[in-house]
Amino acid sequence: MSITTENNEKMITLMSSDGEEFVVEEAVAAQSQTIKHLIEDGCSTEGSIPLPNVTGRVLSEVIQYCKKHSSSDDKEEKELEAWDAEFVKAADDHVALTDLMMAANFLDIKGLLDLVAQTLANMITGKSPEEVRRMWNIKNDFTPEEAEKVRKENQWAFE
Amino acid sequence: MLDQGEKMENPTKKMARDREEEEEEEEEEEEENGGDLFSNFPDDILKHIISFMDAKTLTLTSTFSTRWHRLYLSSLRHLDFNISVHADAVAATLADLQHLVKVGRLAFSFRASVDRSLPESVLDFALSRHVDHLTFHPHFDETGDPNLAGLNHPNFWCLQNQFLPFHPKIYRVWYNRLPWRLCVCRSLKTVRLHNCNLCLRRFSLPETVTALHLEQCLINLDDNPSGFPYRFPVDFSTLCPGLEELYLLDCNFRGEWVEVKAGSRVASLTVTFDKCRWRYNLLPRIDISGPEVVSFRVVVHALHNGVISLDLPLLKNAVVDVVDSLLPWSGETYPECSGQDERDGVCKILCGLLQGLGNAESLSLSSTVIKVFPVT
Repeated sequence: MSITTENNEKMITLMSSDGEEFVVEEAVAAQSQTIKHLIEDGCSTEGSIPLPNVTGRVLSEVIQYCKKHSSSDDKEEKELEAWDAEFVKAADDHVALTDLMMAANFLDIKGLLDLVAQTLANMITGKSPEEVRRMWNIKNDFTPEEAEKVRKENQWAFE
Repeated sequence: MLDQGEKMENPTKKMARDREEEEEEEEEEEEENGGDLFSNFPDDILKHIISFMDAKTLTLTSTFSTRWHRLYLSSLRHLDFNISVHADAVAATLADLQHLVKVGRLAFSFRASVDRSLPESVLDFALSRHVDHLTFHPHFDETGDPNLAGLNHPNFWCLQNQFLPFHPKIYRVWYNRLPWRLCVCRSLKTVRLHNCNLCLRRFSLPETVTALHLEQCLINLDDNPSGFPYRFPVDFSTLCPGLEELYLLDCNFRGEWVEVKAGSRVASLTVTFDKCRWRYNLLPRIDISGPEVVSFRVVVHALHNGVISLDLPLLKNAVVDVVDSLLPWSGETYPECSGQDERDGVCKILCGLLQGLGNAESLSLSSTVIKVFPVT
């Protein structure tokens, strides 16, 4: 992905867990509360900020999101919503979204966290528990008796 | 809360399932990767995802695994409005919680003189949010309504209605509206109704309800409050077929021969009569049957007279208690239970009870029970 440097903005270098470097404007990176605090603590003055929990692939997506949203003031809210919808659609794979969710949590970007959480919630909606377990590899660790009891207690939701 | 359990999966079955999945679509990749994709997620993130779900999906998550079940339970909101919460504050709280999709427990105590729109809206809120546990408790003793002055107990009030008309305000609200709305809410698990008027012809609860507490309720057979039928069958197997625990606490049955049938799943039954007020302290004839009742508790008042007969074939544990203190709500003084004449009535009740409890494996009698029996 290409990073424009024509602005006078201060630039920050972020390094992903797999060693990929991303140069972004400070205002873009600072949407992440985690990075913002690192910058405030002076971690950005020399070299790049290492993000050991985020791979390059995920980080590039996160940066894409932050860029769009850093200039959100002068954008129509509707357009931004449409962009968000496209953004999660592009990552429309539950594994990719799960990674994105982890990154959003680690980087503490509220807007992205909400967006992905909503998307994951929507993906779970309308699926049977068995389907959801299969998609996310959730192990059903109830005993048969417990499973029966929980199912009975929540029977209305199955109807 | 469920215990952490282990599920042993049949290995051949699992392989067969894997193969099915491989055939299906690209899911096999995750199968190879193994791990639960959410296992790295802290609880907070999962709770965040859960917060975007509708009530039905949210409830389904509780069946995914023990972890999701725990998260589901901890994410539920519980609302307790006690009688000291002002009506405006209740309304404001509900307005703030409009976004809420699911309520775990809602307990609402209020002065019965409050504008009826408030209890209506609380009930609407609870039922539309798929409430699990509902407590509804109008208070009559603090209504401040001069029409209700002195009628500080609904049983008192309803016995008097042979001479006084029902108070129209309360009659309409609690008599007609409450039961049929409860019967369509299939998330309900526990229902506690205090001081409510129930008409059995209209009363039914979904079979999802496993515990029912009726406390100081007036129970009528049909809509006509002036009739006083002789035979009065109260069959909980049709009123509330899923019941496992039943509490009939100081309820007033408007009939002369009351037949309480506990239903085929009820294992625990508690019946108390100590705070009931009956004319001449004479209880109606009461027959209690419960084919599956294992645990039974009964409380009577030392000044009551009557016959209670039991049919509890599978009974294991029974507790019998007699209360001889003043009735807290009456405001009048009862004579001390000292003379044998006063004891005769309750002795008759106790004899009937003990006959019916003969097959219990363990029987616990309070010291007052022993006190009221004549010393020979």
